[in-house]
Amino acid sequence: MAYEVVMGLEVHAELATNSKIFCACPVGYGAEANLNVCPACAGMPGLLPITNKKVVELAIAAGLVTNCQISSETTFDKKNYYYPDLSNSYQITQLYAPICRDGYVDIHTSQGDKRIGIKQIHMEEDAGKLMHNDMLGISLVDYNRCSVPLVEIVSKPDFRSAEEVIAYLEKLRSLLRFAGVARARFEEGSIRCDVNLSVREKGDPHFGVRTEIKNMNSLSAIERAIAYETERHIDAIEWGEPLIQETRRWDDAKNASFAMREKENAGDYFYFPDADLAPIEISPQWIQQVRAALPEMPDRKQERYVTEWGIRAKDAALLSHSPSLARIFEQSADLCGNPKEAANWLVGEGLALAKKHGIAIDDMALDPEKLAYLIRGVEDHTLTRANGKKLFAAIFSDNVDPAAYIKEHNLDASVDQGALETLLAAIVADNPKSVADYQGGKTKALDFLFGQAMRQLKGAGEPGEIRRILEKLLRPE
Amino acid sequence: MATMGFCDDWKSGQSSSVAWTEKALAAAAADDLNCLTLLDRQRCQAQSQEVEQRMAGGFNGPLVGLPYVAEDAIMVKGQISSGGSRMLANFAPPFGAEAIRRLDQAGLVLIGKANMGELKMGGEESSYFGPVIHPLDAARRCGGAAAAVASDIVPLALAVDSLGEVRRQSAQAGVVCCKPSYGTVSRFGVIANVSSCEQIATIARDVKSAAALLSLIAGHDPKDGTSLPQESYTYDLQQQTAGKKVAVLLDYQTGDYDRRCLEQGVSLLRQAGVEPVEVKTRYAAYAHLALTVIAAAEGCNNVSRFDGVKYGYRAPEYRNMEELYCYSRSQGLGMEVKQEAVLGVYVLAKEQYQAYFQKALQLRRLLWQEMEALFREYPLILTPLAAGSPYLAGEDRGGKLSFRDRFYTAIPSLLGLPAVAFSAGEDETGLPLPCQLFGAQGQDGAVFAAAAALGK
Repeated sequence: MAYEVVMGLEVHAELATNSKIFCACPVGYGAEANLNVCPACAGMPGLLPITNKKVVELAIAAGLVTNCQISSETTFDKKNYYYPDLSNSYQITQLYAPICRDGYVDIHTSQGDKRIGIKQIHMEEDAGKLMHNDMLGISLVDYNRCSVPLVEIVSKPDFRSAEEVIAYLEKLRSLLRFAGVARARFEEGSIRCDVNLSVREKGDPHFGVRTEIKNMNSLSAIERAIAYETERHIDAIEWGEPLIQETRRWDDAKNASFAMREKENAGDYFYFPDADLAPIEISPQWIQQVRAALPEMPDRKQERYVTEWGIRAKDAALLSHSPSLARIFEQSADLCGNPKEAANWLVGEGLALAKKHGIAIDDMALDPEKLAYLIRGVEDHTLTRANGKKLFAAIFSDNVDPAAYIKEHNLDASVDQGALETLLAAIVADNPKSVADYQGGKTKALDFLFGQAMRQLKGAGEPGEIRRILEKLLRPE
Repeated sequence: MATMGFCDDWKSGQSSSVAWTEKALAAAAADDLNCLTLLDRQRCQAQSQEVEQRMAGGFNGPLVGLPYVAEDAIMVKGQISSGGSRMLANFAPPFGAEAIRRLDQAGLVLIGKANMGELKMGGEESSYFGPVIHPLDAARRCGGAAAAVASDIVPLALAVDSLGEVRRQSAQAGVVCCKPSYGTVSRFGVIANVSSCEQIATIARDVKSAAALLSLIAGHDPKDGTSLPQESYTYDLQQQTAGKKVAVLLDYQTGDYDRRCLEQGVSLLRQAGVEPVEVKTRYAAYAHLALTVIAAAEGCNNVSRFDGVKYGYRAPEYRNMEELYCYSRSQGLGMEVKQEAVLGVYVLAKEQYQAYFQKALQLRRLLWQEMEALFREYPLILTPLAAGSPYLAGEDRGGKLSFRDRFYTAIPSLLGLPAVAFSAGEDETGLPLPCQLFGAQGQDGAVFAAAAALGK
């Protein structure tokens, strides 16, 4: 029997604002517990939510980069449930009139190109964190994350493989980061993903029983969770065991998913409109302003790198993947005037070093000025390529000053004029035949002599200058 | 200084804030109606001295230096703000209501907090601190803020008009209540019940004082997302009322008591040169039902934050998280609040949402349209405010009577309209017959002026 897995994704991304969605508290990853908390996000009575305008703009931006329709009027609703990390005992979210609808994201996999539909994007507030201390038998609540702004990006059930899911998540992360909408880092929880999954016989027009998997905090966990859950569904189908629609928690250590407690599966959240928040009107002008402020997106960058700068397609894809890498690349290319070389150094050396040192591409901090200095040095032969690599590694790891480093390590390959002229005179003297050929009109003989000189100079010396001196020496007296 | 109607009488010839404050404190100490849940001598004595100094420096205004009480749902920084509930009987918020801040600035002196139905969700019998005895008949019940003004403890009071109970209680105690259009007064620092309806209203012996107090607290507040943009409000009570058309809603003539209220109201209008016209509407008689559904949903949601986890009452014994929630809420909240919460969950549940909550919103829209049309012809509407005399002791237990009288108070709450409540006359036992006038949104001044023209 051939089976098909059908998946839809709910991606939560923390918006990159300085303050929370409904109060002025700062948003900060890793702050001391309950430091970024005020009476409003601690759930005290008498406080009223005031919408952070920046949140709306970032949500509009999220909609624009995923090709969504932006609603002209959007409203907030309350979702009611009790949990100690939810300070108000309700979450402010959007059910009836979300800010964005009907978009798509194009992905590329080994099976080719595919378009994944976006059902909607809505704004909401995050909950705090509950920490259990089994030793002391107590639970503590940290409200720092309460009211941190999120967008939830809900896809259509368009995924048919884990590869598509991963490609989509990588693309989405990249779009959100380029647009400045979100930091979108799995390791800090600033992007989280729930997978809705069902399995059916291939060709069956009906969906199978759907389960929702939560609590996956890396792409590899998502991949493994999908494989596990798919297998579990197929087993159940083949053995004729009932599958129930439920929410399941992924346990990365046990490499298995488990049904969550019944409460999380209760299903009724008593949604209703939030009377404290007036509807938000979004004018075409406002949308246009947000659109105009959007930076160039990765797809467009990739295309431009290839067509305008002649970068290899594969390198262009790598360089346009991360906002920080793209910025380093573009700035160093501009500064040294040689995009191809900048690409070669970043892809060849940079990514290899990042991998070796276990540094995320987003965290690569390479000063474009220094890279441009290096590229110019290699170009004008004051720096050999081998020494260039040493310098690159030193800039990469220790952010050294290139001029000082070259001096300190004696890497300067430039030759002084007198020595160069003596050396070239010796080469001319050692090759009378080439001299005669040249003087007899075979100008190609100069190339031979030039090659000899380059070999002896081992990359030092400026090629134009070397040619000029050779030509002067070969001119008949 | 402009004369301030009854407020000037209340001063009884004294001319210092300290003297007025001492008078109010003495009356509050002698209070046997259970009007107040908290008396803050230190705060108000310090405040009155400070006001004296400011007055000596030339600071002045119509109500400067006068004492007032605020209902316990209106929070004061660092002071117990219980909302009449055991749940918050130990809760002193680290911030205060915007209205209190404005009155501090305006130089009024807060004497203490007025007793109230639990969290505005319960009726006259529901306060954790016991019911308030009616100032005109010890066998009956009243609200704390209305009773404090009616028994002359203070000349002025703030109270949250949630479902209209503050209007009803004020008029039945023979004092005046001015409720502004929704969005006029900041709800910041007010323990919320029906978020989409409630406003802080002012209570005084006359419209002039109540409207003056209201203008001190009204105006845009960026801390309240539903606050209207207008920065400040003054109410012109001299504006012409005679010759205006007033609709008397026949929908509210259901029995002897409400009929008598209306008759009294109509005769007052006639004396003021206004010819009332009897009008029958299609939706007015359903307003209280829509309001009940919306109030239960919003109230249920607003009290859900009281869970025993963060502040307020926590059950002394529990074995796990569920029990912490259940016992804290079971013990901390009273029966009428629980009733409302259960009703709220019911009308919001997936199965009933369309049939109840959605319908209530539809009804609110229809009623809005009907009233808009009515206001084009009749800028003012007169209705009674109760089906009977103030509740006898114990009579409203369970909230049945407060529910019954919501029938009369619902429209201004549900639609956020300005209203003024007053006594239109007396019954044979000398108890006031309660009426209200209300008008279109934003017509607060015209509504208050009309009541002033009736001699209120």
